[in-house]
Amino acid sequence: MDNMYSYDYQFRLIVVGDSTVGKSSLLRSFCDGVFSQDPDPTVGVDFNVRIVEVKPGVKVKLQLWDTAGQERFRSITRAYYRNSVGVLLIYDTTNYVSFTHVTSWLNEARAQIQPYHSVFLLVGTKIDRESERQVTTEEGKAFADFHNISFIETSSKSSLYVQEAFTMIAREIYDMLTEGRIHVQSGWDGVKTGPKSANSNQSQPIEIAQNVQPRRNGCCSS
Amino acid sequence: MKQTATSNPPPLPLPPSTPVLTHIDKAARKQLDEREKLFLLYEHEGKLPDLIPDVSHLQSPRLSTTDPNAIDHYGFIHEQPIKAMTINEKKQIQQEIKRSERWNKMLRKSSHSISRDNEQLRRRMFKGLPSTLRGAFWSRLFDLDEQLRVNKGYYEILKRKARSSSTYLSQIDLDVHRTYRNHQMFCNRYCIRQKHLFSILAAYSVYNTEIGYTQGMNQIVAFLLFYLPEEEAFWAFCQLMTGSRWMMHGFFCPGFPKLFRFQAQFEKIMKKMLPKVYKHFVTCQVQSDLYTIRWFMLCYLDCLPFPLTLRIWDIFVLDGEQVLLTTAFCILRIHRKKLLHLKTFDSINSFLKNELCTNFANSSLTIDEIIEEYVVCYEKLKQNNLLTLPSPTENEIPTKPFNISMGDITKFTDNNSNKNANSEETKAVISTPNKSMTSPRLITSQMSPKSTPVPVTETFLVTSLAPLATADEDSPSMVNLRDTSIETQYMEIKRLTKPFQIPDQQFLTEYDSCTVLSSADQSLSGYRRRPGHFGDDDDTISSKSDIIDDDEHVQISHMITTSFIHDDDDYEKLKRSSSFYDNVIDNEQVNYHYIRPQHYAFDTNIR
Repeated sequence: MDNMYSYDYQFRLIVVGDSTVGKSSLLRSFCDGVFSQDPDPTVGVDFNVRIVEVKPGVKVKLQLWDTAGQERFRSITRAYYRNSVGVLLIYDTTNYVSFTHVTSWLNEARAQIQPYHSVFLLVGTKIDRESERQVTTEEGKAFADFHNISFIETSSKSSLYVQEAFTMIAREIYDMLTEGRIHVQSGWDGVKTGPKSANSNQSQPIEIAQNVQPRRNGCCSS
Repeated sequence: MKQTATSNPPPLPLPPSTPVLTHIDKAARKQLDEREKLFLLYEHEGKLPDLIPDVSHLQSPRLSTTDPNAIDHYGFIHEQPIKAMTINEKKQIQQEIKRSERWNKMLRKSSHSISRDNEQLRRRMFKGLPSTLRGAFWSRLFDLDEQLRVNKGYYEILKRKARSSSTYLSQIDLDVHRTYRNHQMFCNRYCIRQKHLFSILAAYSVYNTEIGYTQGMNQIVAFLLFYLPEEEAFWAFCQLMTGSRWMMHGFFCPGFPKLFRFQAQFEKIMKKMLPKVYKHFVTCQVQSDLYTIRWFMLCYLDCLPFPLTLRIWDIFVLDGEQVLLTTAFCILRIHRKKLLHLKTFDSINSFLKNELCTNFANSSLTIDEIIEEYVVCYEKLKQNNLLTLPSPTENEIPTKPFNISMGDITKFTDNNSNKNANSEETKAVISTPNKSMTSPRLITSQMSPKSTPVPVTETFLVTSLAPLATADEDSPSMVNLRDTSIETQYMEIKRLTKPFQIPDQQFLTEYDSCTVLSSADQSLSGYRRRPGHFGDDDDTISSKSDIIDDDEHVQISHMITTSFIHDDDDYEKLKRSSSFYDNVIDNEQVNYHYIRPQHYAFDTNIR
């Protein structure tokens, strides 16, 4: 728990997408390192935390808000967009319909987050089930390119690119922060500074392979 | 579907508002097949090789059930053999067995119903029901005998109706797939209990159309199924949702009005009764609305250790909605010191979410002690008048009639009781405007006293508003029902139709308000007559062919679900017809074509 108290920034991210695309599984895979086959449907919102290192010596606490996918829960989840600096748009690569709904999730997130800046990441899940794939990588990429957001495909089951996905969005937010395109603002919880001065103790950051280029399929946001 | 993807950027997806009817139609047709498929899968325990090429990966039990030592007292399967029971747990179980005899006696004495004011009962309920008798006592407290009697046969009708018209089945199926898979009752895909769970949720989705299906309901129904058989569980669930004591309707209907009301009340309780914790939470920005969603909507399922959840539920079944608030207060009160020590948003939330679930955050209290604490909390809240909530807003209570017959609707709206009258005596024929015709135009249902065996009532769609609009010859010209709400349409249809009598048999007109659907164009309809049987006038769709093509189906404008008479043979015939087109069946007896109900543009799952 100790390392939870030592970080430079805190980013608040929200995870959205259709029912059963694998939002909760992705978060469990990332935060607890386990794959849960069929987690209970998320009722309302849920909450997870993990620290990542965006560049050597800079630790960021990611506060991850998991949301219910069923349409009608939007009246509850809507309130959680406002304080988010990043949005993970999840679809299931084995379910084409979930992909067609990404636009509406994107639009809703954009509308709710205004006037604050935010970073989007399109995440395709379940790539371990290649034989059942319905959405090609190219389609995902094309969509992401069109909307000028980053894109990655993951598998929570084999924890493929799960770390990378979160590191990717965290880095992107961090870059925007250093470039001054996102600010720490009072009254907004999207980005906060951490309680410590950098590296004051030897707390272990969660291990992230340095220099691994995440598969930045179709990321054209630079 | 996929072909849409190949276009150039801006590639896809289509904006949700684009009305591309062919897409809707395809989705709708797919949905029909899906519906039928889902039901068949559950009926055949998932073994339908010709229907679904590969479901093998879905079928394997989630956890190995081979090791009996890994199953606990309550039927949950653990990944590892469970440790020996603690002394407390053993004591608890022994005591339960000892008490069973007394409970049994009580059960025998009160053959049908039990008065909630019975002091002995209350005292004992707070001590905990023995697992073996839980079902029996819940059944009495929910008054299930009466429910089953009054609604005899209705559940079956609802199931069939769901099969032909529920729009929530795929979501329900997805959620059944992940409900209590770590319990021996639900661990096998498509097992009998999963089938029951699926059927109950499906039936409820056409019964209470204001809710349909909301995630979270799956868990409650599954939990009821631990202790009650299928049909009882359905009516128990109905009681929970709309019985005045529980009224969980407001927790699950769109907008979640009751949830917000309870959360506001809970804030009040915290402010007044736990001011320090409240301030601490405010400092740490912990808002109660985050953790209370699950507490209130699921009534603590999966939020507390299971044995404690059971005890809370016993009290919940006995006392109703206020238990939700009292328990929330009780949890925070017991753990107030620990909570004050936790200094961050994350740690507090993690405590409330995870640690409470495992061993009640290592509390040294036994369950009995926790329940004693609960009683103290209850008294405190009562003294401070904190259990008197602001009265419910209108939208917390179902306003649309449930899926019941016309005659019952008046009854329902009159006393607003949840005793939804059943349709067991529903008999209905929707009239033909032209009384010279020998047989009714639009179909319907049951009660022909002579026929044996008793015909099964089934709900099916017939179409076309046109004959209805002219049914009352005195009525002004056709009413435009387009762009009006479903309720308005319903009232309009009600006004325009009159009970229709067929010699020798008594019929009432019946419509189902909730499945009156409208879509693009009222002048078109999917209903077609059989060539040669009727004149060519009025309302039929203009197609000369007997095959209904895609476009025509999209054009089906107004659909009315109604019941009609048929026997089991017909039903079998219908069941066997698997493809969409095959569903146009000629029922010789009444000279009708009818088609299966479709929900087109109204399907909420299709955007």
